[in-house]
Formats: sequence, structure tokens, C-alpha cells
Amino acid sequence: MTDMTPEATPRAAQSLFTRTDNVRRRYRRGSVLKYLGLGAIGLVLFFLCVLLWSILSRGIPAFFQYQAEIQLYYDPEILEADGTGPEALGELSLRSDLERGIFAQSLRRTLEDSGIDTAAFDDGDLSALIYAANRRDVRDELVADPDLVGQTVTVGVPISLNITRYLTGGLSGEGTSGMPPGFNREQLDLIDQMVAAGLVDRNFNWGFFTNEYSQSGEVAGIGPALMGSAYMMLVVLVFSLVFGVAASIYLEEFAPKNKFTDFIEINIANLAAVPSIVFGILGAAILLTLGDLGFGSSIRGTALLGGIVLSLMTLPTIVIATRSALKAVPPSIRDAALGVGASKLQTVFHHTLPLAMPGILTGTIIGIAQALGETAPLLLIGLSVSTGASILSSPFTGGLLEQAQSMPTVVYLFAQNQDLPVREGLAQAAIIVMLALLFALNIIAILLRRRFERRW
Amino acid sequence: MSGLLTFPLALLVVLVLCIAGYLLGRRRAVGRVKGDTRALHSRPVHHGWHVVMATLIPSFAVLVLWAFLQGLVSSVYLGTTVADDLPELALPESQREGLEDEEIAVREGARRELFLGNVRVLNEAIYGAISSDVISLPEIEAWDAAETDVGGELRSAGQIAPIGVTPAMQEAALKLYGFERTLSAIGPLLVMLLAAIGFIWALSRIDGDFRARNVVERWVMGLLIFASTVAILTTLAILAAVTFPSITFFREYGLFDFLFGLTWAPAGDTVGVPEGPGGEYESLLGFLPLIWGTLYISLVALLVATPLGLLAAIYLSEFADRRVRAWVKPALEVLAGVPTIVYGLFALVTIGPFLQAVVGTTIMPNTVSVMTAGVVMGMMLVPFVSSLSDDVINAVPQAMRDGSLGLGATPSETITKVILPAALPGIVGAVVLAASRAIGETMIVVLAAGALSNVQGLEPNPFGAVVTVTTRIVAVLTGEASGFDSIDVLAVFALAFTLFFITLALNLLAQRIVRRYREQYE
Amino acid sequence: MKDQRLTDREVDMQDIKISAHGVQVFYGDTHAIKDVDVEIADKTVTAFIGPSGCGKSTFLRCLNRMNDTIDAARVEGDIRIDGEDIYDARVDPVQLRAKVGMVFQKPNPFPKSIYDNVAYGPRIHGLAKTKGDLDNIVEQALRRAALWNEAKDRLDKPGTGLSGGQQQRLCIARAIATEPEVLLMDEPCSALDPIATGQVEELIDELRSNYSVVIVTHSMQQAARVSQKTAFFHLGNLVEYDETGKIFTNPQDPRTESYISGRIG
Repeated sequence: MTDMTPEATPRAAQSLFTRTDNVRRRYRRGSVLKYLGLGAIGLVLFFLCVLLWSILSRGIPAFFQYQAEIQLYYDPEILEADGTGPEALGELSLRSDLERGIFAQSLRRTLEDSGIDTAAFDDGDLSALIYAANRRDVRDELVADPDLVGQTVTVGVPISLNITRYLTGGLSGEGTSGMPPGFNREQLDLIDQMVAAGLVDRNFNWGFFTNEYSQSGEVAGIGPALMGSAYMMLVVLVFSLVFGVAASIYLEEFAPKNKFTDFIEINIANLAAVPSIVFGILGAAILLTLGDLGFGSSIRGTALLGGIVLSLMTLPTIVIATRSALKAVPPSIRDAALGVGASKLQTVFHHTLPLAMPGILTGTIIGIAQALGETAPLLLIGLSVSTGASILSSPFTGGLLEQAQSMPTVVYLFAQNQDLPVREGLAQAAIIVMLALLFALNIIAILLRRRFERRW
Repeated sequence: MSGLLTFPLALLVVLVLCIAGYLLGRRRAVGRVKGDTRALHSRPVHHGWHVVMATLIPSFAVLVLWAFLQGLVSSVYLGTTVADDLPELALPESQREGLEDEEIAVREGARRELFLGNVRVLNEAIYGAISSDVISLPEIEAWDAAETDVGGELRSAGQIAPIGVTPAMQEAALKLYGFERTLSAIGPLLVMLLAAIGFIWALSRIDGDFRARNVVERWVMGLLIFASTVAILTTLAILAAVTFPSITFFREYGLFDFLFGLTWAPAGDTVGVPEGPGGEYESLLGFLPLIWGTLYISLVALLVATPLGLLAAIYLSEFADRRVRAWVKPALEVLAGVPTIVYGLFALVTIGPFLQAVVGTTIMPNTVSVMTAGVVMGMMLVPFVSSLSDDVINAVPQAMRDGSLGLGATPSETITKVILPAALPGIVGAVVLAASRAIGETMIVVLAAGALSNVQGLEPNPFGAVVTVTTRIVAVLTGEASGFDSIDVLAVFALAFTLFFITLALNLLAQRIVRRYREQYE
Repeated sequence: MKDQRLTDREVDMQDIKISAHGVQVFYGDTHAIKDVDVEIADKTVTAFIGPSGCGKSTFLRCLNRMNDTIDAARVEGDIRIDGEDIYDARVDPVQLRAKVGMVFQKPNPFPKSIYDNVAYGPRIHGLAKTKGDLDNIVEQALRRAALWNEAKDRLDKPGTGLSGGQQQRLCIARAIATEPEVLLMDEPCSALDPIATGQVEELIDELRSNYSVVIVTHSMQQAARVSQKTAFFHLGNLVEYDETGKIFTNPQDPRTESYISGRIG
């Protein structure tokens, strides 16, 4: 094309219908940016998919539990070797009497009854297949009810989590890398025979939602953590609705424009950007000071302390949301109320606040959702204890002042467990529950916004 | 918090009085003017609220104060009841040999602390045993610690109790128990009494001329102002929490040694009792390896987040049509709403092993590393950077776009040559904010960066494990520290101090940049 | 006196540069431009006048397809520049806009130096081969925009630091540096004081020798002062289009007359 160079021919001769090389080149160069942007978004979405896949593929199987149907025979010969009565039962050895004794024998008997040959396996090989180690719960049960001795009960005993990985196909059972740690091929064959004989059930593990945290993944659960999180959200809700809304009303409707209110505003803006761990440090400093003063550690790890720390952290979010909701109420409404002789406070409480309420609630829910997933501050104030957190009492009878756990800290505990199936499976299952709660909160917020959205 | 268990009753009484007060106040106000409400200065509602406030505010304030002071008072009481010359508190002769008087005093002080701690635990155990109806108070009083294993008895009653309870310990614990019972009986009583006084007083004030509305509104205003100072109080509390222990630490350990030390190796010295041979602390608490780890990971995170976030924002605001935006924006919001511990675990179980498989175990011996944490943190920051960039890009006036397009520039040229240069300060502000987030981020690095408690030097390998400021804070404060008596605990507050001020400075800087930028186009 | 000047002005009927037929514009459901026919001559200043919201700016933005940037806008009809339909699928708006420059209502210099503002168009269109060429183009554009004397010593200072009138002349310099054939001006003086307005009007008169200038204005006096032909828009309709002198002295349509005499506005 001759009209490539502008000097050579007058540009007027260039028809609009053909693109010049220059324009074509520029478009080509420009499309690089577009494809880079598309690539960036693609990469981020891919990452999101991998993240979700990583959580779901590991977490969903962890909601299901394999159980062996065992006729548990409380053999008096084993149990009464050291004498009778609750005292003697309380001294039973967890390992030789229960794990290698009652559980191994009962499993062996159950298998033999179904025609499976167990001669090749010693007691340890057998009891390793099921959750039989450290069964304090069974010993306590015997102490509480010595009449059980000599009886036979059919119970579902959870299969060892490492074996579960083989049953779900997570481990092939071939070679060293495909073998569950600590097991051999013969044990896997035995499990296959048990499955074939219908002795193994796969059930949804409801206990996961109600059990306490335990080092043993077979019986570990998130019951106290769910309750602790719920209590803390309750504290956050009350605290932020009272203090957050009151502060917003003052700043938005009454505060004079002076240094003091400017200072408050700067404070709120900065608190919103302070790393969350700093709020945990504040909590930890309070606990350590109380310790030095001799208060003991009575509020350490309680839902009340956790809730207050989370509230302080969420306060800026709530204030910002509430103020924008108040701002969205047109001044004409205020003028109208003031015009008929209402005081400023009456105007706010009768008109502005009710009209801004949907926006305030939406902001509060989003703040609560943010607090629900927050981990670091709770670690520093003692909510990540692995023992001592049981199902809490009602919040009105002191439940707020008992040792608590929370959803994110129980995820942290699972993640620190030495067993791989717990670290990967149960931690992800707990994450699924937490994300589902977050999702539900956000949906509520969205619905609320849709339902009450008002255009002035 | 044993005493609090009777406070619910007091609360209930206060609540009932409030409701009754509201109804009665209204009724009485109307009655005073014989039903002619126009003769009232304030509406009946205001009289009702006035009674509620007089009932609620003083009693509630006392309740909160009481809950906090109770512990302090009983600990002071305990300190005064335990005599200094108890034989248990003296250091045995065998251990006194070769010690100077000062050291004997320090060790005897520690013995006293231990004794008092045991008394407190014993007190809790006694309370627990009695309130769960396993053992009665006379039974416990009847025990003679010299003969009965008091701790063992309480343990078998399901309580946590100390080992080796002595008669003096038992006596002190029982005294403390009695004192706390009295305290926690007085507290609720006082609360109920105050509520009743406020209730009656407020009801008696009701009159046609009484300006209940003004009083109520003044109090509400006061409460509103109090609520808005919570933010300031929080900031002050944080400042105090990070500053005072840090000052002690700098005075004890030395600011220079902290700031420029290349080794972090806590050894558990007690504050004021350096255990090194030359009178220095055995703990080596150098800041450099930790801040190095923090900045290294933050750098990786920003190198991931800035280009991706910026490109995504550009694409969404300038190229994408409405349907794409409608899908991608919520997806980014999902990413932004995921709790950081989820990212941390993802880094640990998925990204770490993946990176290790790619680069090999010689370069990357562990699955935790700078890259593991940095890449995932970067991905976490993408929505943050992109939404902030989106805001600043949209703040560039449409006139700029029109001007450029009107001259025959392509959309891409308009972005790269006009919009981005114009938005640059705002984008820099966004990246600074992202940096502040990266530095303060905790859970990802706790799970995926490395967890050594001792580090020496600066790890140059991006696939090597590092320790960060926040990791150390979590590791020490999650432990069983119960006071500021260990130099390692104080050191962690010095870390928190630097963390707080670094992020504060970055936030203020970012806010300043962004404000300037916005003013330019307003 | 004014009338005298108007009648004296010679309108040499040159080639038709832009011809529009049956142009309709919709913003979503709003019918903003209704069936407009107009022919704009080369090397002439054509003024679009009319009350606010009458569609004159909208129509102007059709002429270089600036309406493309608004999602909801839809243009129908036939607009030709030098006989080529600019809404043809083969036409690239970028190339079109290089040929049809535009100056906006509010001065919108880029947050760059004065030099970079003017050099922006030539750079993206590749009009200069060397730095010397570019310097030359910038100087010429600034001279023609009557800004050279004020700006020559501060070419590297930001364009946003100039006064309002200078900024608008900078925007004009920026537009003419690209060597367009048509220059569209959307109320270029509405944000300027009277002195700056006078400067810009003088400039427009000079630009007529090289370009076809289309100016939207709110001020009838301005239309009378600078244009040779005037089109009156009302409620999206082109009511009357004629020589400026004729529109102002002897309007044919009663609506034009009402507007001229200030009854609708």
C-alpha cells in the first residue's frame, strides 16, 4: 500500500473502508493487553477452581465413615483378672485389656462367625484395623455400669482412618507408597473380605458435628467449635449492634465537625486496616496482665473474650456500613420530621434508623461473616486448645465463660494433627462446614439487600 | 469466674424492674396529670424510659465493674492472708549454699508465686467439687492435709487439683473460698439494690413539670458519644499493649541487639535474671531473620498479586462486557471472602507438594517455603488489588477517555497511555495497602512458611523455609505463657510493636496517596 | 451592525464533506434523534444550536462515532464522510476519529506535560518519523491554536496547570496536531470566561481555512459570530438548517423564531 507513509500521499485519499497497516499494527499491539487481562482472570479463576477442588475432593469423603459391625463381648475373664467392681475396672489397661483384649477378641470372633479365617493375624494386627486404641470412653462406660461385664453388644466401631483411605480408593494398596502406613497387604485382604461379607458399613458421620475434638480422627468432631463460633457471633452481634450503631449514629447525625470527631474517624479508618493478629495481641496482653495481677486465667479461651476481641476487630466494618446506610436516607426525611417538631433524637430513632435498618443489618452480617473465619486473634487468646473444650452450657448460665473452641481454630487443630487423614480429610471437612456457614450468611445479606433495597 | 453464676439472677431482676418501670412510669405520668397528657412537659414514653435508665445504668455499670474487680480484690485478699514466714515459702538450707541474698529473695519470691498459684487451683477445685454436689464444704474442712491426700480426693471428684497439698495450702484455699463466696453474694445483691433504688427514685420524680425528655435525651447522647470513643479506646489499648512490654524488653535486652541481631533463638530466661555466663541473656532475639522472612514472602505475594490484580481490573473495567463482569466479579468476591486459614491449609496440602514436585527436593527440601506461602498469599491478594485498582481506574474521569478516543486512540492505547498514568498514584496506594496486608498476614505463613523456633541468618533460597514475625508471635503466645515474666514473651511484644507500626505507617501512607489522588479529580 | 456583518459574510458553497440522512439515535428506550437530514460543507463553520437536551450534542457525537462508547446508545440511518458510510462494518472508529477530531465541552487535558498532550495524537498515529518532526508538529499545532507564545517556555509543565482558556486551546491544539479533516467542537466555550471565549472564537474562524468545523453551542450570539451555516435542533428534530444570516434574520419555522427571540430556551 502506498499510503502507508502519511507524507507520501495526502491522508484524505485514505478510504475509511480499508485499515491502514499502522492501525492494524496498533490493534495487534493493543490486543496483547486484552489477552493478558483475560489470562490473568483465567489464572485466578483456575486457582479458585483448584482451591475448591482441593477442599471438596478431600473434605467430602471425610464426612463419611466406615464402620465394622462387631459383637463386642465384655469378656469377664479379661476384665475381672484384677478383681471386680468399679475400682478394678477403672484400673484396666487400655492397651492390653481393651485394645488387644476385648476389641481384638471380639473382632476375631465376629470374623470367625462370618467364616473368615483369622488364624494368620495376631491381636495387634486385628485391633489396628479399627478404632480400638485409647478407648477411655469404653473404660468409663464400664466403671459407670459394671453390669456390662459378661454381656455382648453389637456396635459399629469406626474403621481406622488409614484403612479408610484404602477403602475410598485414596490409596491403591499396591507397593510401598500405596500402602496405608503401618499396615500390610494381608490386613488389606482381610478388610476386603470383611467388606465382601457385609461387615463394613459406610455411613454419614453425624458424630462429626456433635463430637468433641480428639487426637483420634475416628471420633473427632466439631461440636464445641460450632457452639463456640455461634456464641462468639452472638457476642459480636450484640456488641456491634449496640456500639457500632450507636457510634455511627453519633458520627453521622450529631457529631460536630471538630478535631475530636476527625480523630475518631482516623482511628476507625486505621483500625479497619490493622492486621487482625494485632487484636489478638491486645487480647493476649490483657490475659498476661491479668495473670501478672493474679487473676488467674479464668477468661482465657472463653467465648466471651473471643467475641469481644472479634467485635473490636469488626467494629470498623460495621461502622462504615452503618454510616453509609444512614447517609443513604435522604435529608428530606429528616427535615420533614424536624419540621413537625420532633427532636433530633426522635427524628433519628423514629425515622432515620428504621429506614436505614436493612442496610445496617446487611453490613452487620457481612461483618459477622468476616469475624467467623478469623483465626489468628483467637489462637492468641487460647481458643485453640485440643483438650478441655467440651459442649458449652447455655449462654445464660455461664456458657460464655467456659473454655471454648471455634471453627477456624479447630481447623487449625486438625491441620496440626500428626495423622495425614486428619490433617487432610477432617480439616477440609471442617472447612466445608465453615464455608457453608459463610456462604449462608452472605446469601442472607444479599437477600436482605434485595428485599429491602429502596430507591429514593 | 465462679461468682458470676449468680449474676444471671440479678440480671433477671434488673430486667423485670426495667419492664415494670417502663410501664409504671408511663402510667404514673398519666396519673399525675389526671389523664390530661397535654399538661405533661414530656410524653409518658419519656417518663417510662427515664425510669428504665435510672434502673439500668447504675446497676449495669456496677455489674460490669464487679465482674472485673472481683478477681483483683480476691487476689489482693489472698496476698494478705498468706503470711511471709510460712515454712513452705522458705528456701531449704540445702539450696541456700553459695547463693547471694538477692538470689535467695528471687527464688523465695518464685516459691511464693508457686504456692499462691496452687492455692488458686485448689480453690477452683473446691468450688468445682462443691458446685457439682460431689463433696460438701464441711467434708473438705474436715480433711487434714497432713493425713489425707486432699489433691487426690479432689481429682477423683473430677477436678483439676495440685499435687502435694499442705495444711497451710488447704487453709489458705478454704479462706479464699469463703471470701469469694461472700464477694459473689454481695455483688448481685448490690446490683439488685441499686436497681431498686434507681427504680423508686425515678418513679418518685415523675411529675407534670418534670423534664423527662431532656434527661433521657441527655443520657442517650452521652451513651452515643461513649460508644463512638470505643474506637479510640481500642487504639489506645493496642498502643499500650504493644508499647509497654516492648519498652521493658528494649531496656532489658537492648534495642540494637534486637534490631540488628542475626539469630533468633529463645532460651526461656526469666526477665531480670539473665542466665548467660557473662550476665547476658541466653536467648538470642535478633529481629533481622524474622523481618527478612516476612518481607521475602510479602515480596513474592506482591509480585503475584500486583500484575494479576491490575490486569484483571483493567480487563474488567475496560474490555469485558456486562455478562463477563457479572460472572467474574462475584467469583473474585468469593476469593476475597475465603478465610485465610483455608488458604493456609491449601498452601500446605496442595501448593507445597506441587511446587516440590516441580522443582525437586534438592532445591526444596520441605513443602513449606517462601514460595508456597508467597504464591498463595499473592492469589489471596488478587481480589484486593483488583477491586482497589478498579475503584481508582473508574475514578479517572470519563472526559479523559473521551479525549483520548476522540483523537483516534484505540482502547488499549487509551488505557496504557492515558488512564494508567493518570491512575498511577491510586494504584500505588492500592499496592501499598496490599503490602501492609501481606506483612500482617498470619495464618498462611503459620501453616505454609515454616515453623522453626530457632533461625540463624537470612535464607536466600525462595524454596527454603523461613520464619516470619507473625509466625513467632503465634508460636509464643499460643503456648502456656501466663505472665510477662519470660524475656521471650516480651520479645514477641517487641515484634508486635514493629509489626503494628510498620503496617500503620503503610496504611497512613496509602490513605494519603489515595486521598491526594481523589482530590485531583474532584 | 451585526446584521450587516452577517449579510456581508460570503458563503462559498464548497464540496459537501459530511452528509447525513435519516439519522435516528436511541438511548435505551429514549428516542433522542428523530430522522435528521443534514449536509455539511467543507471549509465551513457549521453551528448546531437549540435548547438543552435537544439532541445537538448527541448528533455531533454520531459524526465520529463517539456514541459507540456508550453501551445503551444505538444509531440508525446513513452518515457519509467523503461519500463513505462511517457506520459501515468495514469502518474502524479509530481511523475515523483520526480523520474527524473532537474538542469537548470541558477542557480535558491529560495529566501529562503540554508537549506530551499535543504529541499524543501524532505519536499514536505515527505521523512523525523523527523527534525533530514531532517537535515541529507540536509547535505548528500550538501556533495555530494561538498558544505557542504562552506555552513555549513551559512545554514540559503539566497541561493541567494552565488556565481554563489555555487548557481549551491546548485541547484544540491537541486535536489539530493529528491533522484531522473535520473538527467537531461540543460547546467548547461553555466553561470559559468571556476573554478566553473570544480567543477560542477567533481561533475557530482561522481554522475554517483548513477544516470543516462543526460547533455545538448554547449561545446564539456565538453561533452568529463564528458560523456560516446554522442548524436548529428541537426535541430531537432538526427544525431548520440554513445560512447563519438567514436563520437569525429570517427564520422560516415558528419554533426557530421563538427560540431566536428567547421564548423557548
